[in-house]
Amino acid sequence: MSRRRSVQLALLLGPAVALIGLLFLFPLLGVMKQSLFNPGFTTESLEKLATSPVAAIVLRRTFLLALSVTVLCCVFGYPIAYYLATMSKRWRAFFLYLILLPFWISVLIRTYTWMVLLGREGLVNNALVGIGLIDQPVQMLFTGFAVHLAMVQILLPIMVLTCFAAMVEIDPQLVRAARTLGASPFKAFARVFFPMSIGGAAAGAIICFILSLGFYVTPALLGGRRNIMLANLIDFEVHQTLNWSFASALALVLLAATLILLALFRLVAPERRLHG
Amino acid sequence: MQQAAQGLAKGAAVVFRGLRQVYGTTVALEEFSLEVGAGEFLTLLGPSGSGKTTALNALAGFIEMTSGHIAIDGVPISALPTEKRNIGMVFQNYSLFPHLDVLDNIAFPLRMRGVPRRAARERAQAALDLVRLPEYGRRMPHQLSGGQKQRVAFARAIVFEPRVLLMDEPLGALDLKLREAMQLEIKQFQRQIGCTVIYVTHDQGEALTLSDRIVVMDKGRVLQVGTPKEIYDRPHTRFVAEFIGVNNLLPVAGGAAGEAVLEGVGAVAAAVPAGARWAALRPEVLRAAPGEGPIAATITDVIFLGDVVRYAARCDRGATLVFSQRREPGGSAHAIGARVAFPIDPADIVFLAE
Repeated sequence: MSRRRSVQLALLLGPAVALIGLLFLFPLLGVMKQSLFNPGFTTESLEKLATSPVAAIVLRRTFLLALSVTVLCCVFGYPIAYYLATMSKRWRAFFLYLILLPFWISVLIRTYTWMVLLGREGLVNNALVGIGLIDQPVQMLFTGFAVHLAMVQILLPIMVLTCFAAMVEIDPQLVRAARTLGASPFKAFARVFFPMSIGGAAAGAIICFILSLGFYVTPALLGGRRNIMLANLIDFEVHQTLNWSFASALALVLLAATLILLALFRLVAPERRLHG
Repeated sequence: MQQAAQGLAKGAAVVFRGLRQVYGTTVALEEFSLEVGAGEFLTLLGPSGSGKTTALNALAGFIEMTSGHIAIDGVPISALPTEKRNIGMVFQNYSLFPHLDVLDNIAFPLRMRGVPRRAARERAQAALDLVRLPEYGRRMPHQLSGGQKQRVAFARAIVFEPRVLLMDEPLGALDLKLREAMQLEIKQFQRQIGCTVIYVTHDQGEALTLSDRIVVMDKGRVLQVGTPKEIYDRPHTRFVAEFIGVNNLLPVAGGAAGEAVLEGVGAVAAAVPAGARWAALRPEVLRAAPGEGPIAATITDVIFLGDVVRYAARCDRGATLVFSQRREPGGSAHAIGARVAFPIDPADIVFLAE
């Protein structure tokens, strides 16, 4: 019986494992090798990683951007998810659809759309000048503001849906119970609803952070030259300086950060929540 | 244990006046007026949709009534939010907080009232002793059985000494044996702490066992209020007669003066009150003697229930009567196909108008 199960499992998972091994893990080993052999074993790239001021600045900037985007996603996403989770079921499907709609549009297209909106002659500037709020168009494109705006817009659905999934699992009766026991609406939220939903929020935050670290198109198009991120730097080293060894070392930093965060995610993932 | 019980304030009187609740075009509750005595155990009994939970939710402050008002010990509470009403509540699915241990669950209402954590946990422990789970304070709710969760929910609902305790189908999720054991415990706890209990259930057996008084409800209306004995022996309507226990219900046709004709059964010497349309006869008051008589029948079914045997008998005029007999030593049972005669005592008949 258990033997049959393991054969079944091997047949079902085999193709996927083979695909990942061949097309992902194998090249990844190549990347690792590239960062350490040139052609003989050398720590040159790792040393450069540790000493290069450019790498330090870009790494720091990338992590800070990922952090601030994640915080913004939490601040905007959690209340939206709360609103969705507590609204009547009839309207919920409609609003979920609205949230998913931009999610289905390619990141590239959404980034270009922001360029159209935020440009010097863009819709936003024209409107602001038109109503007389400003005299001259404001520089919005190619700023940190534009990158934040677009990244939050792109990642928000993920945050909202992850929070929402955790929140709809919470029995509304628990909040009522807290009220009968003397909790004000705010305290019932703070002591019962919030602690029970925090796992979902943390999971959403980790996903957003991981995705933010690897963002490429959006910072490249909206951030301009002064806002280069890790993925853009890797691209630069691969295409412009042809320093593949250094690019590999940078990629490994990204990979290591992601793996650590994934381990964290497993700790807070909603499946570990306690049930009543 | 005793200290916790002694410290509790006695129950409060609750008055409902003309409560009415309308959802869209559906009337969930109509003209609901009721006076609940201090320390009374009152049960709202009815099928789903009868309005019993609506009345409870109105008292708890979960819903705003379309009209009417509620007072506790003479103080109107309709304008107070739930948390200011100081009412304990036990829910059907227990509603224990899954992220808090048992002691923190029970201490929750005390913490909400500003009691420091240590003192709150001490009082929670006393409540836990009262429900006979002294060792379970450190457990998480998911580590408890259904009956244990129920007791913890009860401890949490009474630890802050509310003078009114609401229980919404608290035993609904438990199996039969445990339900019967918990009924006895609930009754004991209530006697110990003396608070007023308003209990909601659709289980008529539970209502009869626990209550000082029962309010039978259907379709948003109160049909009858009375002690379990009154409700059982003297139902006012056909619905009550059928909902509580087992009853033989027979249409009544007017006969000669001083005579009631029970359709499908026969004539009985009894004065029919004006407007009576139905006659109700409890299975346990029907006496059946072997042999023939003016009202004779043939046994069609024999159901063995342990302490009693219940029979179904088809009368010669067409109606089927259910009757039960205690098993007595040496007493012989009727067999299927046997002939019996019913000497119906007019005093056992309850006439119903609707």
